[in-house]
Amino acid sequence: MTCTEFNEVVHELLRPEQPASESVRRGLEHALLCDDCAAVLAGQRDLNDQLDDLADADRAVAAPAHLERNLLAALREQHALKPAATPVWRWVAALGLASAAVLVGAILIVHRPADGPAGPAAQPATPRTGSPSMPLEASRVEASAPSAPKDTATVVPETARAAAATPPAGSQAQQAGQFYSMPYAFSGESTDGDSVMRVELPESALASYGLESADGAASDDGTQLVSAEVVVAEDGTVQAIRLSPQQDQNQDQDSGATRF
Amino acid sequence: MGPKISGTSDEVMVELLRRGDEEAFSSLYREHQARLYRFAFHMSNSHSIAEETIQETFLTLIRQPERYDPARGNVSAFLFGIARNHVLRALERDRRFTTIDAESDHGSNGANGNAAANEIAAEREDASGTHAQMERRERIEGVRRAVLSLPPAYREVVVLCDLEQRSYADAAVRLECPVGTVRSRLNRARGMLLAKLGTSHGLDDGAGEDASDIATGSPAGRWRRLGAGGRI
Repeated sequence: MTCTEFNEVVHELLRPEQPASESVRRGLEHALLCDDCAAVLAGQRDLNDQLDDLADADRAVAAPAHLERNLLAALREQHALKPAATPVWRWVAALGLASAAVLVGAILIVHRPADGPAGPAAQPATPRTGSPSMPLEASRVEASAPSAPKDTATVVPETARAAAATPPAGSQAQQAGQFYSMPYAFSGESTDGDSVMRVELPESALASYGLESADGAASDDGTQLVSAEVVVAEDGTVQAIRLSPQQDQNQDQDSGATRF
Repeated sequence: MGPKISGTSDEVMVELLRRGDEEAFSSLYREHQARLYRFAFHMSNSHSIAEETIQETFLTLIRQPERYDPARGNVSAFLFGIARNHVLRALERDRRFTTIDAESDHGSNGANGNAAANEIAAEREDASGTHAQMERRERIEGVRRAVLSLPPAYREVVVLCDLEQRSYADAAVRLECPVGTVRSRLNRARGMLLAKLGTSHGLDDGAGEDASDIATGSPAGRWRRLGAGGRI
């Protein structure tokens, strides 16, 4: 072992944890042969003694007693502030209620009546009252409809507009008994306040809605009156129209249908 | 120091503490506080820093017991890690404002002044105090100042391995570094101490050694000289 190697391990030679390893044995042997390294070893031993004295002097050093009391108080405070754990059964009950609510909601959605209760979409509504003798232009009807009394027409259930929007434009939509949605009609809006009104309008007016007479037999001058039902929104705009089955004009007039 | 609750592991003790068991806390506190306090005191020579360290360490255990992971080590190592970080932060905080000499006075002038220094003063006033005792005390204070003059990375290995008599492996776990690093740091630190203390056993007087050697962790000059031309 060289002195350099000795200096690298000298601090370990005196440690009690070091077993009598080969390096320790060689280091001690080297110290016996080398005066300088023997002095270094003695210096290390002296340093060990001084450090031991320091350790002994501070052996009794410890935290003051009040620290433990303060920390115990902090522990008590910590657990006083901590809310009591929620019992497991409460979690189970809450989970069960939530599951039941979701299940009920799902059932209601799945079994929602597609056709709904019998309403204007399925059955033409008959106005209860009205002003049968009031001749109005179609445009004026739209403008004045909001001010029309609600009791003059049957309130359309929310399925009415859905039914009205369902049929595609074309010949099928023109068949009597099916509503044809107006091109500007709102979609997906609330139908609260919508009304169905039975009207009579000249055949020529059907063309403006893109319709033909249900029987396809248009008169030459287009002045022949046809019976139709319109869904009027709360703002007075016509949302849908359908041609009524051929009815006795006299009966219509008696029932108070509005003539356009 | 109270005995640990019999038959309980660290994990169980911490679990009991988490539930607010005061006995478990007292057991943990009494088992670990003294060593942690001494470590903090030896590192800082300040009782106030040592107290602060103990308080912060155990408050962390009280408030965040989930931070203790048994897979990463025992409670002792966990607490030591917290304490060490706190001490190093405190040293860094005070570094610009405190000189070594002031540090040595810091403890003795505080409310919990350095017990050894007070003892020295008492002994000086006590006519019956022997000269040998006074010399011993002064020598101890010299060693304390020398230890405090070491850079923190070297100081902590001296505190752990020499003052607390911990093994290299144990110190390596606590300092989170390889055993070889502990070994080499201790070797250097002891060289610096010898230079600072001027211990001479057939060696040149190193008392006047350049302080930069110590600050940079360079081994004492005489160690280098010895190593240059050694013989087998």
